[in-house]
Amino acid sequence: MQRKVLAEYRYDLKPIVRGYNKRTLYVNVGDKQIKEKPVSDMMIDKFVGGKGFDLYLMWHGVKDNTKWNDPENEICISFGPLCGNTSYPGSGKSIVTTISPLTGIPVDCNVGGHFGPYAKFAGFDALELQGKAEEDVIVYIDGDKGIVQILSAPDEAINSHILAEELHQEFAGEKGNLQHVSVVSTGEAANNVLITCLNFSFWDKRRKVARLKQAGRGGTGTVFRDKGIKALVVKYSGLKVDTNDPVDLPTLQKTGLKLHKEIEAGDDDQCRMHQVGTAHLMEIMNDYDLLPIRNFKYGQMPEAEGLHSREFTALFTQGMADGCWYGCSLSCCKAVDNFKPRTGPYKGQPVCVDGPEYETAAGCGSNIAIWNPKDVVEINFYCDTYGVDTISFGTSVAFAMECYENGILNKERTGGLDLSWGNADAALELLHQMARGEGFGVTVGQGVRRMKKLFVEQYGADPKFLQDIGMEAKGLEYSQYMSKESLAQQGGYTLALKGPQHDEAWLIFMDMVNNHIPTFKDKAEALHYFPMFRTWFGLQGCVNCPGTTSNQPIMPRLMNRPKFPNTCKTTWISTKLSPENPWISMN
Amino acid sequence: MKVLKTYPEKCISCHVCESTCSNLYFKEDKAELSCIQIHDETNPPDMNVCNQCQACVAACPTCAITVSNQGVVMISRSLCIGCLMCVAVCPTNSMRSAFGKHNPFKCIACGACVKTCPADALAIVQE
Repeated sequence: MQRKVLAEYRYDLKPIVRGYNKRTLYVNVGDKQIKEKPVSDMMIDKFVGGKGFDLYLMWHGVKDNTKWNDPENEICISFGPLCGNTSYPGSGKSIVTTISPLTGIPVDCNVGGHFGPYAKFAGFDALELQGKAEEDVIVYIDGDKGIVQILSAPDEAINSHILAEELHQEFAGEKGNLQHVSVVSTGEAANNVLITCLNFSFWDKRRKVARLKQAGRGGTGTVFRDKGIKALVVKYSGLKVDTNDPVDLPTLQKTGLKLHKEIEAGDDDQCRMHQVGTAHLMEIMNDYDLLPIRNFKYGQMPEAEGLHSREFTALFTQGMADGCWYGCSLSCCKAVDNFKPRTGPYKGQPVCVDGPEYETAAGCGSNIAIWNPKDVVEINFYCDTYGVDTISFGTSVAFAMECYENGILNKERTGGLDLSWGNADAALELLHQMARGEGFGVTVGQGVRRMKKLFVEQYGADPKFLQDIGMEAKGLEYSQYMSKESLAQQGGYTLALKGPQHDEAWLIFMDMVNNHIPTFKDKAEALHYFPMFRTWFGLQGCVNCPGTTSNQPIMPRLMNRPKFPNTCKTTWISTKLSPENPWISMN
Repeated sequence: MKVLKTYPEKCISCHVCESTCSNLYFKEDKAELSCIQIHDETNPPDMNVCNQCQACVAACPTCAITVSNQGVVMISRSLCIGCLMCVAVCPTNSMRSAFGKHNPFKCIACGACVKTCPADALAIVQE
């Protein structure tokens, strides 16, 4: 394909020093300006990297009255000093921030895939995107040659499972180098609705397919498309064990190997991340009355047996090194291979579906009373390729279904769709409508807060009732845990700056399953330290996955790693916890 | 499948095999750098070496570990990124890693130790 080079910037390739390039990349797709910005010692000392760098760049890039669709709104992607290590599980995360179209305030997402590590090794500690392109563009970073380009992109499909595949092929050059490319993209729904995501790819050499990991929350895909960006592409082919220049590689490898061995020895009996990823939570949540069912009305139903993790285990291809970054032995990013959708534009075509993970299985399954795992997989596939956030989709559809049950909606108002509980065909049609930009799907795709307002204004619905059943805070849809009886998780949700997402304070398990924080004091302390170390992961460029396994006995051992070798000055988290507390032992 | 077969009952724990292997691959005479390792604590001694079971092949995230036409498990140095996941999954603890060496290493049934073993405790066989 012949592309027009709309702008080009050449930079010096330099080795990383102790996890830092000490420069960031600024790209304005509107005025086609590309430049690098220095990273000062102050930035490193105070903001560390990852989410810290993102927010630092946004602070200087946007104004206090910037709206999500203003040209000066930014999408920042930063990688953190530990990002890109291959010796320690979970060291490959990017953090995406932008002003969210759902909440109007900054949102951040922690995402896997190869884009973050490769963009970092290409030479930058963060990527800052600003402006609005007049025509669709691709931003390409060639980390082998030291070139950044803004390229025309008039013809490609937008949907991610096709676009990512095409761009891997196009930018890899000779065959065999597909794994050296990574793509960030979204999908057609991001042109039309707000509950959207970004997909970060990595090339799966065994499956020979571009896999997709999601920066899911807050509508990042909508901002991406509003800027006229079709994709970000990075190429880097020099990856070695010491590329990130750790201070003490032998100790890092030794410590990583210790964790690999613990995971290998314990995972089959504990979290089964190798077999089923986070979907292992399904039956645990149902057993403990925590699984959201019918718009968070119930926490347990016999029908949830249909979404038991054994059903997903059977669908996932087993025995693969399923890490979203090299060296992650948790291998939790499972995939359904050769899945043939029964609806939509890709009906009957074999596709590889990443997931479902727990949040997707609960949001697009139990919360809308769909009990067939294959329906959940199909919703998962179309959400990903259309660029829709599965969590917000699940909670928004659940809200619409409860409105339908209560007569606020009817077939006339939904354009003929029967939004009865469990109607998978209708849920899928809502998704297809989001991609086509038509019908009631576009309304649902505005999210719960906007639906509430609309249903009150247009259909005379009782605002108090909608406030009771509409599961959103700050404009963001709740993620998929029943927090009715968990004060700690309610705090975790509603104190999170971006809105009710569980990554800062995922306390549901400690509170409700293991009963580790029974007193008010325990819960209050947990609301302090848990977000602190989760934020630490986001600053450093690490996954929450060792944290994600915290529902099982493996966790105290996994987290008990205060001697985690640092590649940089590290801000250790201090807690007031006693040494007897089995859950935390970080100096 | 070509494999290095051990005969512990013949082993005299002279550790010549370890010297041969580590000198061949690392130019150093260190037991921890040998693909075959002899542990004397038991009688007969434990002769630990890769049996080419291929468990590590599926664990490698970069597909750096492959099986040769002769059934020998090989590591591509150019593809290996030193994650050591292969070391963790090895059921016989025969995939090696050594402090300060970035990449894992293992027996490739080259037969060098067979030639230097004074007790005929080693042999290259087809299984």
